[in-house]
Amino acid sequence: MSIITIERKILEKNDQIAAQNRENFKKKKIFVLNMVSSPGSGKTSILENTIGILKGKVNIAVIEGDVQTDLDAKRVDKYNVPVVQIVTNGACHLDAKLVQDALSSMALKETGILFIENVGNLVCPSGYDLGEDMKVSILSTAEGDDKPLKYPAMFRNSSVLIINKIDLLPYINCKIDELIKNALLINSSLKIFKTSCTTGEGINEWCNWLQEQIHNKS
Amino acid sequence: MHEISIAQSLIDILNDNIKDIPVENNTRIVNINLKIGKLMAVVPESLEFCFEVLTKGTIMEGAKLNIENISIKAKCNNCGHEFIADDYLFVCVVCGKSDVEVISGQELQIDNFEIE
Repeated sequence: MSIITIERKILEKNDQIAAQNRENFKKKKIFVLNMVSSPGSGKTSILENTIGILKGKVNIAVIEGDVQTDLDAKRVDKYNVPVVQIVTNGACHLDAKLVQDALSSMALKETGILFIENVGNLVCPSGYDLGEDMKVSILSTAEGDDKPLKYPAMFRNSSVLIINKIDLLPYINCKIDELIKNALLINSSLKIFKTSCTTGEGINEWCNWLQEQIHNKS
Repeated sequence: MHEISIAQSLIDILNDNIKDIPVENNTRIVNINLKIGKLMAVVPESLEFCFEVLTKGTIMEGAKLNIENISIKAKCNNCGHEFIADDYLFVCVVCGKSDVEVISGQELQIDNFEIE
């Protein structure tokens, strides 16, 4: 019997490619967001609303990640922004290599912001660095105010929390103050936005903040 | 179910490390020692299951994954107190402030493996 010591990070390959992606984004001065949430929280709706407001002010590109179908890419394509769909065929998260491959087919010159919409999943995407500037968690009110406590890694690793579907609050058993309190217990530095894609509430605040971030990176 | 990707990455690293070792016919990897932080949301049973499925018929078949679970340790940026946050609540137990940084619990590492 012999012991072979190696001490290597298991996801080192992903981290190396993520570092290459990050360098690439830095060189091109693109602000990159990794959008994470459970399925159905409204990630694509938030994107559609955001593109609607920011289009013309900043050049936007989108990578869509889904287990199956290009339905989301088709939704985004209507806004005439560059979009690439990654179909993972069962994998529950995007990884840095998938994003790197998607980038090779995108003309990113002059792009100010790249949204990477991850596969809907509150667990798996949290450990996979894609090379983004920050992760944005989206949580819809209907999912319940306890979710930050139940899925702590995702909220701990995010810089922003968008609480979506706030127009549903009168009809459901979700206390938004409790939700915010729980999120801040996990990560006190979360920047929090409250939005509704149905009424448009909060979308302007989110877009104004995004423009500041893009300005800071360029 | 990111455990299957993690298991595949682990196997890639092991393959990378055994390619330079003269392998006799009956050489096997018998033990693999891992450190996994509690913030990584890895289910040990799932990782073991995925590893078992992916290594059938290879020199890793039957190898035991010895997983050392690493507690989440946090340090308060206000008073400097270090505490265990295995309940995922990042609030300083001394001063009550929540400006804390994670200093361990995000490991996902292979330390060593044993062959015979």
